[in-house]
Amino acid sequence: MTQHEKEPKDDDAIGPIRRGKFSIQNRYFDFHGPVFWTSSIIALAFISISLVFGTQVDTFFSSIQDGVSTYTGWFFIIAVNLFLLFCIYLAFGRFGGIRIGGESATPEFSKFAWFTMLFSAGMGIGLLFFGVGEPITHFINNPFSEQQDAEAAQIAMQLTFLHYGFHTWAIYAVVGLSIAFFAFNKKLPLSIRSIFYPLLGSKIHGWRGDAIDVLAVISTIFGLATTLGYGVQQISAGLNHLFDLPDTILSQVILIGIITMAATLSVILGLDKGVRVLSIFNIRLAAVLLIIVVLAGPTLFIFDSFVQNTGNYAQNFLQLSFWTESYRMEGAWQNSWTVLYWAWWISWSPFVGMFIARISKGRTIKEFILGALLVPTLLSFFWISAFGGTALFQELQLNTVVSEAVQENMATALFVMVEAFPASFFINLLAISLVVGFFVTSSDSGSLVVDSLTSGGKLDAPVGQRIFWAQMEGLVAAVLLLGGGLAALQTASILAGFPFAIIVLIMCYSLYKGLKEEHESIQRKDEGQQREAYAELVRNVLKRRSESQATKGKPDVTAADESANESAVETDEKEVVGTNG
Amino acid sequence: MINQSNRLLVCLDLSNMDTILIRYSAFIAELLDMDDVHYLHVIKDFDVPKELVEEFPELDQPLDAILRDELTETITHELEQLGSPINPTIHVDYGHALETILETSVELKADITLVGKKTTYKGTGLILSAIASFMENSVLFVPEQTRTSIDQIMVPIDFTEASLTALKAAAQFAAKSKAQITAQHVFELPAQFFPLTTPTEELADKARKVLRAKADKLISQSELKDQTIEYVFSLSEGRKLSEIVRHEALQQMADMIILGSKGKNPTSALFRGTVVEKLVQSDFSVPLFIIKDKKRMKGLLNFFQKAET
Repeated sequence: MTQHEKEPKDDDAIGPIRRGKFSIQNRYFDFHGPVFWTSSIIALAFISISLVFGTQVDTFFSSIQDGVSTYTGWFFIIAVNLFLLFCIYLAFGRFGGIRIGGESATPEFSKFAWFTMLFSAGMGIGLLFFGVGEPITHFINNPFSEQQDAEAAQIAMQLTFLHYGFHTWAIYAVVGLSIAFFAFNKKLPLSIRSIFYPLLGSKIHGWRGDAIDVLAVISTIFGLATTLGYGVQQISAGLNHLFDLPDTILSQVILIGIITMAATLSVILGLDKGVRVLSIFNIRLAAVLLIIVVLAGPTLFIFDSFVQNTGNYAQNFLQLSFWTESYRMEGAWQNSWTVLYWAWWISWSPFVGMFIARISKGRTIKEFILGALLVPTLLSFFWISAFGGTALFQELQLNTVVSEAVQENMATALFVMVEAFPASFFINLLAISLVVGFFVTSSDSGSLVVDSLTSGGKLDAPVGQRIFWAQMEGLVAAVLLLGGGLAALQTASILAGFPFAIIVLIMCYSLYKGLKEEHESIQRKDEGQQREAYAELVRNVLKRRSESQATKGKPDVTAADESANESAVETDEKEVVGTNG
Repeated sequence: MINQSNRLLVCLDLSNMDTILIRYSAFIAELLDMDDVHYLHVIKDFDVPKELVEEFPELDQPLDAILRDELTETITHELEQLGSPINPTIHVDYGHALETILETSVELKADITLVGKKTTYKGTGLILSAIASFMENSVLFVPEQTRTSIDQIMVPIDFTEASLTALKAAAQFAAKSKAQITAQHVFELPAQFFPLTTPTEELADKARKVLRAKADKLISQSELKDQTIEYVFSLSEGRKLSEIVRHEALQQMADMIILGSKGKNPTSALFRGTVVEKLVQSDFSVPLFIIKDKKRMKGLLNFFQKAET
């Protein structure tokens, strides 16, 4: 009976998530009530509190950020290292050969296209905003060196590489692989709750599953808001730099409004005409910008330093990865950098994870992990070596305009650096367009992910709902900027990142369990083939004997045996008695 | 000595491989003067669906009896054709293949257990490795393409007692078949020759001379002193041991490889068996004979049984 009761429940897990209370399905909206309403209410509550309390919230946010990052810093650091270890185990352990989408699945994209898309998934506002600003900030002030010399430049690069290196991609790879495996191999809905099927069973349809998805939605919205916040600050700073337009919180909020409208348009145009065209445009523009910087900048230095930086990163990998600032008794440098980054990447991981999951069907786990870890990491390293390297080169030649600009407003770093190039006005215009492009695609694809999560794992939810989420993300970013500027954005990331880091840790265990079952079932299938082959052999013998009996007219085995060796038959009969008795 | 009980156990699985094994068993029995040959088939009862037997209602015997009749016919037919004097005993048992084979071999005190080596299914390699590791008695793996003649025997050696046992077994096979025995030893150049001032080949030649002397000494002190044995000393150059053995066997067109089961204490016999395992699993058509030291294996199995209880 228990067996009987259990089975339909298991079947239910396959297919869309059951609608809960307050779900709506019409032309404009199609959502899963509990997830949609809860996450909307939390987001709106966050917005209202920020608006009501205004600048008071700023200090409140700062103290929360300090508190959370001080007390949980070590946890984030150990967590990302665990993710990376887990990835290495998955790639080189016994599960490496399992194919996403089942044994017969074939990749949808060529290797080159896949690599490009992997890179574009993580490439974006972060690299544009911090590509110049971060190495310069670390150059001016880092916990390992006092002077602004060649050594400081090396350390600055190492620290930046740490934040854009293997750990970042290990987070995305774990989340992406989990989503892909449970969606494509286990045919569960495309949502975060599905990953917990091995642990929760059909309970993923209950409140636990809802809670996980709500957390993923909130995490994505705040992660996205942080990214959009950085993006709009950079756009505003760029416009101020080029056209002397005012660079204030208000202008930034207005910009968010305008660009969110553009994102909405892209949403209305749909995936094919909107995001896809814009993504291709972005990646081409990024390539052009990179080539310009490499050619117009100190070309040889960029290639030289790329090689050296990568070597330094490899050399100091373990020390940097596990460094927790323990013996620096004063200052909390790490809280506003490494810990913040880990939190930001983790909160952003459902978004990137969902994307890389969708493009990786047909890859083996080994291919997936190595592709997701190596390709984007190395390309990011080259990007940082080009942009940050150029700025550092200027600094080492005692041209300190970039570092002065960074100290004043990091968002201007890229534009000030480009000043040294010929036709800098046009290059900067190109850079601003690229940030706008990234903003729109991030917002649009972010809405797509949130939409899928709040509609119960659907990919083709109505456009109305996606417009709603695009607006909501803009609103959250705007309000956070109004409420407390950058500190508010960072707090949002850390607050969303911490619980989600715990979720990702449990996710690793759940994925391990799922993969173990899959591995066993593949082995059982092999055994099944052998079993069938044996049954076939037995059938052939039975058929042959049945036919020979028919030709003889009556079942008389002893006649055949008598013609054979007599003693053998005697032993036979003993054996028959033996086995039957 | 291989034969102590003069008993040969042959494992059959109803496939085309059976004919090859029956013929090869007749050949081996004649070569080693064995007269008591047992044929075993294990019905994997979980693998035979009930409906299968019900498809043939006209066959009113139990499945094991039907299969026994079938095997009896096949075996007597093949042996008659070969004019073999063997008096076969046929066992058909229900159970788990690996366990039943191991148990039957122990019960019969078989000198050699003959097992077919196929590479059709992924899983079969594992069961063969398990037989190689856990079998108390010596095992002969017979591949699908096998000649029933022995002109060339290859024995990989490492100067241990196990190597000597393997060479003695080879001598026994060679006595009647007049086969040529080649002992192969794989060596590495010792690290203390570094930095190399003399070319590698020269050093390897020196090493070969030393090894040759060592081999001669080993043989002259044993009962094999009158046996002609060729030697091959292969330089490993970082290749896998199993690969080197395999390569040499194909080069020599060997008809059989004889390996002494290694190890000085109970645990190592199991875990140092990687070369055996690799050779068992790789698909090349040279029969592989693994000769075991019965006393030591027995001690080993008792050890594990005790540990279990």
